[in-house]
Amino acid sequence: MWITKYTDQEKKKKLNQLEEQESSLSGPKTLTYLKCFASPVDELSLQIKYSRLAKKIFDKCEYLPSIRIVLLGGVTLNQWVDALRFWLLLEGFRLEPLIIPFGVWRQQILDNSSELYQFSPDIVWFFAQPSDLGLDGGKIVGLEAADSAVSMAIEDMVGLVSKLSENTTVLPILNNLVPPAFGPLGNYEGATPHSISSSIQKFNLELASKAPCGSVIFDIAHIACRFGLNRWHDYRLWYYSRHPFSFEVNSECAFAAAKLLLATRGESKKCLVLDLDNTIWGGVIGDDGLGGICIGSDGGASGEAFAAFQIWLYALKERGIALAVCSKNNIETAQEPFKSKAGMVLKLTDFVSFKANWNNKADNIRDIARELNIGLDSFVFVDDNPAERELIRSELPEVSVPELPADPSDFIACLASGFWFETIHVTLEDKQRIAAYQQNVVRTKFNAGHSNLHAFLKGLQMTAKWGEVGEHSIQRAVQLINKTNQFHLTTTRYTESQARVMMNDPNYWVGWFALTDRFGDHGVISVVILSIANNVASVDTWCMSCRVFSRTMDNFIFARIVEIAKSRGCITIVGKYKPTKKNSVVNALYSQLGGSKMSSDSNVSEKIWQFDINETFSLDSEYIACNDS
Amino acid sequence: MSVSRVDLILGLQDIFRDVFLDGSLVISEETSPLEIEEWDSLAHITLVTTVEKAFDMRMSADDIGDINSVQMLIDVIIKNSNS
Repeated sequence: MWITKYTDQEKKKKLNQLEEQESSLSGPKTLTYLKCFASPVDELSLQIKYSRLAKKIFDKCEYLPSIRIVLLGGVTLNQWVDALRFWLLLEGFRLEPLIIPFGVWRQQILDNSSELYQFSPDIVWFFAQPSDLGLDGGKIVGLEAADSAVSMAIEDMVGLVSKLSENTTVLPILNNLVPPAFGPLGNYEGATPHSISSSIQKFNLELASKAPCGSVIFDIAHIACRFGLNRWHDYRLWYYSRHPFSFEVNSECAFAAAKLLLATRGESKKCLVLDLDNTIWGGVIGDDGLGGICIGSDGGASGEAFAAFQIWLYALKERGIALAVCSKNNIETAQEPFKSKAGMVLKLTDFVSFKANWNNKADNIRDIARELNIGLDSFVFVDDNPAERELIRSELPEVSVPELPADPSDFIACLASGFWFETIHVTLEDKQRIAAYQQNVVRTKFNAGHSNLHAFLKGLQMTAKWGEVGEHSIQRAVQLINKTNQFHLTTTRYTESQARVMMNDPNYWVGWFALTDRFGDHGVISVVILSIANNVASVDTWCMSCRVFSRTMDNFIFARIVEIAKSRGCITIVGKYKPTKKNSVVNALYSQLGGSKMSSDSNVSEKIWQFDINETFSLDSEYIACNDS
Repeated sequence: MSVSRVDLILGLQDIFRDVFLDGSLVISEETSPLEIEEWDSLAHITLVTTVEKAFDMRMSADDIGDINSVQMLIDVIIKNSNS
């Protein structure tokens, strides 16, 4: 694995050093120190030390947001949860777990007053084993029995998850099933659809299509296969204490789980910055020229490897991860292979930004971050040059920098091993995002040419659409709520289930807003949730994508909020602002919109404004036409 | 070459200190869960797997279940290291 560059010996030393100084280090310092060398494939003794350390420093990390997770299944999960605690701390979360005793997990789902519900979890994680679902063999003989066993198991899971959703708005995460390492049919296990192995595969496929809306599947089967089923299963631990897998697995599995949890919060990485020479082709274009660089089948084994890497990168781009180039080259030289070299897969149009110059790469990446208007913590930097990697690691510690191996055949595995781009679904907006980033760069250049704001805004020819969130828009709406940080007045975070509850509740109005301008369609860029009671419309949630700041879209949206409030018979609108590190851009929004401040200045955690609906506000945007179609 | 029980105890002591988070813990052949409060069934599994790794050996499920003192742990290590 290539996340860090230290040997096990070096890591042990670093850990010992940390343990000596640990009581004097702050929470953030300790975590930063750990993050630079702890890796999920470290040997077992290191893994056990990490789990211990996580417990020791847990109280220092109260500043981190917590995630409350209930874990269920007929298994013993304590050591796995200890590993998850460590890897979640490194990702910036405090884990608050509740492991339901394995004899009573079904009962606790069915009983509304159980510990499970009283715990008020954010997430319920199903660690069901084949034995919990009747798929552990011995009982399955013959094709019909196998088919019916799978159907019953699916119904069982779906039923339990639905029951959970009846009573709560938690996010259910469901493990699929890991096949056994051996079966009594030998090779025939895979050759017949009625073996346990095949039944488990069938179950996993059906789960992927039948899992209830809003639930997330954790593909533990794939992690097990990658780890090696032989090494994964430790039947002694299963027979002795019902542990689901060998302890060697704990860290890798917990790391993958932590990255999935990030994805559920919309916090996966968004942009991959790539070097060119010896990173996406073999050789140095400036020295070797078009004839000398190596890509595709003409380039031998490494040419094939680089081409495969480009295909992988292209697939990332297709699902909405932004690709950018940062290369020390003249721009014409750097762009030549894209225009004229056979075997290249990526095209210039696949990149949202192309920096080829002789400046410092850290400065270039900062520029890219500004252009795309995303934080440095959204970046991954891939470069074959260890000096460049070290530079970025020290100048821009929020950027993830994998330790790229020497052989291009290993590049894909290296990039995949960081789990930086996990997602829980791929929406239409994700696919359109790249075009949107590129349009934004064109807009940035357009902006630069206009010193007259009025002319500029008029020139954008903006039109907006809006409506109530429904089935077609709920995924995008939830995505926006969870990943927006800057223009987010109350920084609420809701799961799909929670959003659905409000969507269907007449005391709430959940709305989406989309914007188009002369350069293209931004898609849905804002979500508003109003809670309506006693003639007061309270703005529970208002978030907006930073791509459309400073264009009077906030005026447009607030004018619509006023319309909705009026139509529901409200006489007052209340807006709240909860300050965070990232949302100071909206700290005076409600004042600017004409509201009266109701909270005292000494209240630092929440500020409140009130609007009287009968007063006239010069609110609506003169630059944005409403597209009613 | 056989390792003496005394050497094994010293090696195990380091492991015990790690697993039970007590840098000053001193163990002897008699040490058992009665002396160490945190030596519960969960810590037991962590302990035996750490010992397995450290001594490059593998215990049976019965061994894991039977071990309830340092003396028995050493017996198991010696038994399994001979094979």
